Amino acid sequence: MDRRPPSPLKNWLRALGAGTTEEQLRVGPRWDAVLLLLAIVAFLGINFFTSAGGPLSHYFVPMLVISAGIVLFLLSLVLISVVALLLRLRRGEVGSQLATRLVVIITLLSFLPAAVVFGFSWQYLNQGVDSWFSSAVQSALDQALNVAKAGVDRYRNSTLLAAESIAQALVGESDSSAVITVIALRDQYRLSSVTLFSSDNRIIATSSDNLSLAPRLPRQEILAMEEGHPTAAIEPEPKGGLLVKVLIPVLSPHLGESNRMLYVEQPIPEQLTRAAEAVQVAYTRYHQLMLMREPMKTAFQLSLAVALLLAVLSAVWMGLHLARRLTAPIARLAAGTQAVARGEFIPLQTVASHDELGVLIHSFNNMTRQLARAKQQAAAAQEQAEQRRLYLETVLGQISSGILTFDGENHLAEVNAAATHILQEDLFRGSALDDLYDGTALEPLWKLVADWVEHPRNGMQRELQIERPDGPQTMIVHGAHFADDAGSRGFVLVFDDISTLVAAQRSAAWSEVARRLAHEIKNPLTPIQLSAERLRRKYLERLGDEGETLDRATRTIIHQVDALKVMVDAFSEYARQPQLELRPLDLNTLILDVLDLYRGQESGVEIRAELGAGLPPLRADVHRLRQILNNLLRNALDALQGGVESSDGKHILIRTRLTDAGPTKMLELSVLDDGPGFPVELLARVFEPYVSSKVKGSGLGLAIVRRIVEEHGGQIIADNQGLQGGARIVIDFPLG
Amino acid sequence: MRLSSALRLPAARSGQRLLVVILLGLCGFFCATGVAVAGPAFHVERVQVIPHADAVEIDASVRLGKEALLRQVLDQGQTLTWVVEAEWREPEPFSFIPGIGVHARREQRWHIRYYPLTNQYAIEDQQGVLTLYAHWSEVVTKLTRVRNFVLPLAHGAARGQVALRVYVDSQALPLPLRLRSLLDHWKLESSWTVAPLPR
Repeated sequence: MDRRPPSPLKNWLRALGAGTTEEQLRVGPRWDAVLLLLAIVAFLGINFFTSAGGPLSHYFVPMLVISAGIVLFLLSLVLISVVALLLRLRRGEVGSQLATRLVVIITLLSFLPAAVVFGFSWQYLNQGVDSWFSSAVQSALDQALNVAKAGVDRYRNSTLLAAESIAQALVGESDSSAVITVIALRDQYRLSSVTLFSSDNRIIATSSDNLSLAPRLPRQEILAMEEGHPTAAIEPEPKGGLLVKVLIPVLSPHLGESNRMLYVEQPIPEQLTRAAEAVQVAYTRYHQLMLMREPMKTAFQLSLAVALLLAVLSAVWMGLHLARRLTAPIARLAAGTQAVARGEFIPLQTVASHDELGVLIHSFNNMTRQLARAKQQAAAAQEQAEQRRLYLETVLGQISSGILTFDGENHLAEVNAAATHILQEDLFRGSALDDLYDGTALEPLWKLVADWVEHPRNGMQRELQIERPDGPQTMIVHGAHFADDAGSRGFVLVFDDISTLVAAQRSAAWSEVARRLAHEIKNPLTPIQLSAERLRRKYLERLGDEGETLDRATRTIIHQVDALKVMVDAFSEYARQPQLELRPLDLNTLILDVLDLYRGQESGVEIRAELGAGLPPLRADVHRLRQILNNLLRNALDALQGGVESSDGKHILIRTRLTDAGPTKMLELSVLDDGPGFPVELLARVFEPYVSSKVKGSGLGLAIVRRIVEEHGGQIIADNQGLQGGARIVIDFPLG
Repeated sequence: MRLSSALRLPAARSGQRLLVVILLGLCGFFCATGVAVAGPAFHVERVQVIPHADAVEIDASVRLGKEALLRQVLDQGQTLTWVVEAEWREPEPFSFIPGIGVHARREQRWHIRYYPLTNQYAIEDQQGVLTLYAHWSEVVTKLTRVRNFVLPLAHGAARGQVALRVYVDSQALPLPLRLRSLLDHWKLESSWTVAPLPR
């Protein structure tokens, strides 16, 4: 699957959250994390200044909102880190327990002092703010305000009384005389300004401390005046100070004439004004503070909580990060050791650190490299040993000698194919030597080995015979001890089946005997025969009737010499040196030619041929093959003529066919009869010279047949699996 | 159905899913808080727009929903800044976003304070003209009437609508009260009341 690389922002967030990134392999600090912490500290500083009032106070609420955002962001990072740590802990990752311990310690170390400071600050804030307010102060301020009010009201009332007096004096006065009255009474009552105006706002008379030509008309006061009642109000002046304003109607004594209005202004003395305003400011500020009492606490508490949260969360997050950074190399080392335990000698990534962890990783990498080299060498040695073992196994499998190895506890360790073939028994590895006594034909072998093991000598070499159903098997057995890798002594048995060798030696001995016999006997036979014939010719007629003895004796000599000649010829034939003229021939044609010679005889034996079709030509000496066929047919006829005739007559079957014997094709020639078969005791030796069940005969026929077959590279066997249990001779000639 | 699966989140990391659930919970909390703080204290009613050559003259009535709180704050010595703000808007794409489609805006400010020495309320306009009121009812009468509020318009403007609102400027409050003004109980403002621009 195509894995896309994570985005830089995601990678950064995961790195900040102490998640699994390549960056976690670093040992040193992350500078972006340090910068983030510095930014948080700077933010806390700005937050402090904005919360302290002044020109930056406008930014307090946005800063508080941003603080909440940062708290949330940090909380998310901490949560991610904590969840990641818990997952690591649950998975049992190496280093997670140490990281957890570090985080808990750092959290406690940061949280506890911060909580104590927070608690004290909280308490101090509450008590400090509450201490600003008291009922005594409030009562004092109320009373001060009342005093100030009384002072101001006294001026207002005195001004009102003066205005009423002036208004009373002006009742009935004409407009022209009113001017004098206004000026006089203003001076008398020491008022700041007195103005008399008509109902249509026409100024009738005015007198004032200042030199203004256009006195102010009390438009607002006129509006506020209810049903012609006098009004007196105190107002702040734009230039500071308080001003008493009184508006009072001057009643007209004449019916139908509209009333005139008297407007009086009188500033309150500056000393009283200043004192009253100071009281008012203090009163106002105190009540303002009372209004802000709880909100102020809330603001302070919020700032404190945000600062605490930012500090604690930053510390926890930093602790998580530090724990991750500190334990990451340990985890890598643990993973490295686990990989080494699995047999993977991969060096860890080196870190640019010269502290203990850096040295440890460097040492671990050196160790890993050395282990890798040792493993490579061991693997090479093991491979070499394996190749040697395979070579030895191949050799053992191919050689004709049987080999058995036994370990120090006399258990069979190795057995090659030739051993199984020679011993004609399946032997299983691990079998104990004692268990091999199974009462079979191999008991003499195991007995010999056991005797040798019990009485150890340097080596052993014995020749022994195993009795087999088809004759004795001669073996030569060699034994030798060896020490295996574990130091225990085992032994190896090497044995060969020398039955064929013994038979060949016997055959060679017989050949030599036959050759000497033929040489020593054949030479005197002709003079003997000639002498006997001469005696017969010379003295038989002379003796007449007396010559009967001579006649019988010479005839016997001549016949016995002929018999001896036949025997000597057979000896010569058996002992002759092989001189073959090999040519391709059709075996079936040769068989038919030979059979033609036998079919004319009145032997009472039916000779049949089952010849395989399409046989390839056989490269052989035609005379020797003819000799084989003659010998075999003669043997079969002799055997049938001496036996009991069955109900359906006597039969000889000659069969040829093509067979596969391993990698080479063979041409099989079989001669079967339904005679009595070979005697069982002679079956294993029927091809040896002078081994015959016939009364007559040299006993060399089958020996000569086997010799010719072997000269052609073939094999011959004899058994009693012929027709109806008769004899069977099977010859295999190799093709090609 | 689990929330994470309902949101089609990858099921690979349970930690991430937990974080998403927490963040969504926090967002939900803040959204719910935001809904709770809604609800204006004042209501602008009966807006009348009188067109002139290059301006409109606006008259309206204001219903003070939190008159007692207003008076309490003033009596405690806190000066308040009363703002009347009018906008001329034309329908435009994305005009639901504040500020989009607004072609003219004007605001008028009055500072209201209380003098405990003389038991008077004073309203000072932007020109510094101070008007004193001996009774709170007079102040209420003054605040609840918007008269002759002139909003200058571009030449030939003959479509769109006029919006009006009143509020107490929280930025002019001291720091602690500014925090409290974020809460619903202290939110002294009206929503926009819209009237079509007469042709």
